[in-house]
Amino acid sequence: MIHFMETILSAKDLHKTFKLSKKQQKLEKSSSATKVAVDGLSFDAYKGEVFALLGPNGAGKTTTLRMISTLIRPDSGDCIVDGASVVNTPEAVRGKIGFLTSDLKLEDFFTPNYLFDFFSDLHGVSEADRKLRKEKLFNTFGINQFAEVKVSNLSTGMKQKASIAISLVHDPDIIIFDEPTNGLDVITAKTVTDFLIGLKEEHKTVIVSTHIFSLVEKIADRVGIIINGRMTQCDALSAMTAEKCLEDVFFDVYVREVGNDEK
Amino acid sequence: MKSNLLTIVRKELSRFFTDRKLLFSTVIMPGLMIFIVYTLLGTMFSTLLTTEEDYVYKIQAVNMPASIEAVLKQAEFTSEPITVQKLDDAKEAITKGELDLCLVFPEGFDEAIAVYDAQSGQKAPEILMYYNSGETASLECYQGVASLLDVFESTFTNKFDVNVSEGQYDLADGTDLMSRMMSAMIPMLFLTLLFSGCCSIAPDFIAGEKERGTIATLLVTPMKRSSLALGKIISMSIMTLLSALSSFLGMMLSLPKLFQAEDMELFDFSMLGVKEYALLLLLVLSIVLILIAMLSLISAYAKTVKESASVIGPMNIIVMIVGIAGGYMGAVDTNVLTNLIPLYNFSKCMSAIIAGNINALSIAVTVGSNLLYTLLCTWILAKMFNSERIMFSN
Repeated sequence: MIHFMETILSAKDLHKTFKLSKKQQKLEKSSSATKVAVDGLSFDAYKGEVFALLGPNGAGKTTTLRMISTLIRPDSGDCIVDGASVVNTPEAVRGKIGFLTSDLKLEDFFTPNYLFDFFSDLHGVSEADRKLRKEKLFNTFGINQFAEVKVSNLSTGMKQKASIAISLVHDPDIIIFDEPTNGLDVITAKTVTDFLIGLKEEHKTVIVSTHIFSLVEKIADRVGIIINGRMTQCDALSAMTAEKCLEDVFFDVYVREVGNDEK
Repeated sequence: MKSNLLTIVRKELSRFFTDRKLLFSTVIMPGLMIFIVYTLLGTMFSTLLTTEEDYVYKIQAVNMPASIEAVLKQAEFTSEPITVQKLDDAKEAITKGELDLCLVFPEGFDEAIAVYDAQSGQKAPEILMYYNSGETASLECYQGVASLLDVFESTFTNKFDVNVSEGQYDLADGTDLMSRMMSAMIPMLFLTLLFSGCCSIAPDFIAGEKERGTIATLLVTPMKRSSLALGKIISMSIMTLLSALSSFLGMMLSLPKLFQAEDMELFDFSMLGVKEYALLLLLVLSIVLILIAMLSLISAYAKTVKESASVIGPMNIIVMIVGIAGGYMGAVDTNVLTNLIPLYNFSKCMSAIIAGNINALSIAVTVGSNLLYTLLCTWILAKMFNSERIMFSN
């Protein structure tokens, strides 16, 4: 149990504000030139657990994950990932995490096999480790069948499988997935869900963002509900759903934070 | 750092050399197109501007004197005698291109010129020549006959001759003349070709990756941003050099045809020695690096490939102007400080090397400053890779 309580990732008071163009202001129906995407968000993730960030679209889930993965810098606050700061030592953080989001694309021209080797080189993975990991990940996701097919000729599901495998070339202890099953057919979504459960069994720390309740109920140990860039509730899934199902808990929080009108 | 740099260069070159379409459009097509277009243009001009070798000029003459007839015959011009009444028909035939030349001599021409005294103040006997400058054959015929008549006339009034005896009078070395021409033109041509090579590669290289979302995948790896920036610049430079080499070969192989100069040693590069070639190569390498580095910044800043191409394209004019300025100023501009101006310094130094005026300090300042600017651009590019505002501006 002690093993589960060891903090491996700690987000502290993260803030992120984006500037809005005139066009974006119109789309957002806002007169403000800025939008607060993340507003003082803090949470801890423990070693070996699956931590789910649950929230509606635009709540700040993706922005939070992008800050943790060092793609963008927080305006203030910090996140310590296995002892490395996303603000001060972003390169060290990048070596410790595997990050997967639909924003990260693979080059159409290359094959999954080539890209696996390429990203292994960038992560400094040895030849022997690369071979073992490739075999394992390609078998898990059935990539062998299309390992030599250019990414441009792959289906969405195949691309997602290849992306997951490539994001894990360096066998990171912390894996961050942004909406891991979005846009996937039920078969591929199940493969991904089973893989996430498999990662938990390997004592990897997994942080996922999603708005799909069933996915959270199936894989998460703890859940953080984000609304309007703030962490409104954070607890173990079992504790959170002791009296009500997750969906009801979420809407109770949502009504409390936003009001009935916005629902 | 080093291994990641090589990984990036290997990946970019692998993309380049295994993508047949990209390879064809970047390396093979520019040279091939230049060769085909220049050769076709040369053939077209040559057909338009010269007449067939066995063509016989159609000449008619009114009152053709025996003396002139003999002179023309010697030069294989034969004329058909006509009466003055047929002159209008002859003029019409010339307009239609059916006749090349019509000569009208006054009656008793030979006798008249024999007694004519230029100092008498009287009007000299006049020969009228009707021709059509719009017809190549007619124009050539007119020029040929006019020059024969000039020579014929000079035999009557000759007081002295200049350079009539056989011999070599123009003592200019062919190398000097060609060097002057080439030293002014070649730098501009080189710059334009190198820039064209950059234009076909640079717009997509970073802006394309931003647009397609593949740059973010690279940015979440622990690789240093400087490795990514330098790796991109080095691989793009190699591609640009290949593209420029192709254009250069196409141009060199087709220029003699364009200028119909197969017999002239117009593009004899043997006049340059190993040292000159080595220095030229050094200059080309340094200019490719800085060109690519500068265009990389534009490509990285642009939101889309289209935006990147629309900014880079018009810069060709600036490159041409700077190239010409450097080419012509190379011989007179002795101020080493102007070698700090990128592009101009390349053109100036290249012009000097071709003209045989090698100045080690000038070349050192040029190559050194270009490398310094490239490093500066690499540093800025690495900073840009770190800027979420630039990298994720979409």
